[in-house]
Amino acid sequence: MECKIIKDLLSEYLEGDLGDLQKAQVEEHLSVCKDCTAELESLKRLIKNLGSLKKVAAPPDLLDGIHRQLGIQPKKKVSVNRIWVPLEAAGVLVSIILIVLFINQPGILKKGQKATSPALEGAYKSDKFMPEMFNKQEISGEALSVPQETRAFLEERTVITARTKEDVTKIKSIVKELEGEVEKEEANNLYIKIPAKNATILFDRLESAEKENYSPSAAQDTVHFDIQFSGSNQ
Amino acid sequence: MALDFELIEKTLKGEKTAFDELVLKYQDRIFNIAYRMMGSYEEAKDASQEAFVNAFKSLANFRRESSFYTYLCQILINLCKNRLKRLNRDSKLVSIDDPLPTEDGEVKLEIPDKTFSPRDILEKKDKEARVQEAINALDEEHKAVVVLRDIQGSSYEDIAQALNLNIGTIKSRLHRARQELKNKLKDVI
Repeated sequence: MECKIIKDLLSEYLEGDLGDLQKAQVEEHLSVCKDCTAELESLKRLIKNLGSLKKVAAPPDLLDGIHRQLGIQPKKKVSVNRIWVPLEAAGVLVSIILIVLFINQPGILKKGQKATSPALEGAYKSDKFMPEMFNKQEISGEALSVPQETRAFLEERTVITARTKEDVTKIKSIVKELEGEVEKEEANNLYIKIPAKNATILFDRLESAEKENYSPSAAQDTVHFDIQFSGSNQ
Repeated sequence: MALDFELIEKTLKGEKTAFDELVLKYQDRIFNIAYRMMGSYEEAKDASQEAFVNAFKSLANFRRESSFYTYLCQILINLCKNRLKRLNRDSKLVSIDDPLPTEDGEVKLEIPDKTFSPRDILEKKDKEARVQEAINALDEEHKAVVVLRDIQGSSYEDIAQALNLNIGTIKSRLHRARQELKNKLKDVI
């Protein structure tokens, strides 16, 4: 066979598409023709290079663009309303206020004075989430920053407005699971108390519960639960 | 994970989130084909988005004789071919070598490179960019075959369905496309 005919068959030869006879003829020719063997190697390298070109990932906003073109409103990622301030920030703020109050109590903690845990322990007596670690902790009257470990044992209050009776049951169950309690219930308003460390989890759980209820055919901006941060630490 | 046909059924029943799942499942593969066809990130983005939008709009006509992915490829390749033809036509209307007459005399016209974004120009320095450059120089028909077969690794059967060609034609085009690329990339590969 002539080289030109063989070269035209090399692509199919590499793909394994040749019949037995043609395959044998190509292999016989390759065994004696350096030029065609070089051509085959070059073709192999090309195919390898093409196959190993980096896979370019889709832009992260591709789906958003498709939604825009289809006239679909972007879905609210968080449909739980947080009014006033986020609980996390509020927890820190309230903790600071509490510490300031303790410091200002006569005989408990003066500016610059080192206070040990018994003073704080008294102030938190009614707190069922009383941190044991307070027994070992010292807080300076000058330093008003709240240690992360302290925050974790404070509690927060929120009012959650459920839309339906089923939602009330669901919220109660979530609150209980997160070591919180419903202090008062008025209509669909639930006044709840929850350890600060679980406040974020509460929101996440409520959002998940809400997503489970989400129906694509329903209005997309439906808010199932309204949550208002309304309280502070004890 | 739900099967494509189940997601299609749900989409047709009005569950738009089902179509989102299909987009998320195939967007990377579709975008990669578009990128290799168009040779530009922005053009690829436009083409892929349009392909998904068209697929959504014509979903009721999808006869399920092929996979949904092949159906998407078919739409995308047609879009890319049309876009490339339009881009080539536009770039041929005015030669960048022709001086442009202005009040201040003739100035040399500079047309933004529609094929390569700044990001792509940086990439030109390496081998991969040279390979992409060679792909860009192929005509649309040969480019489609080489992108689907050698870059995406699609089967002849899928390519035949996506391009509405018989397998013999696919093989013949693939051979010619490879020859052309090999000649262009002699010093690189």
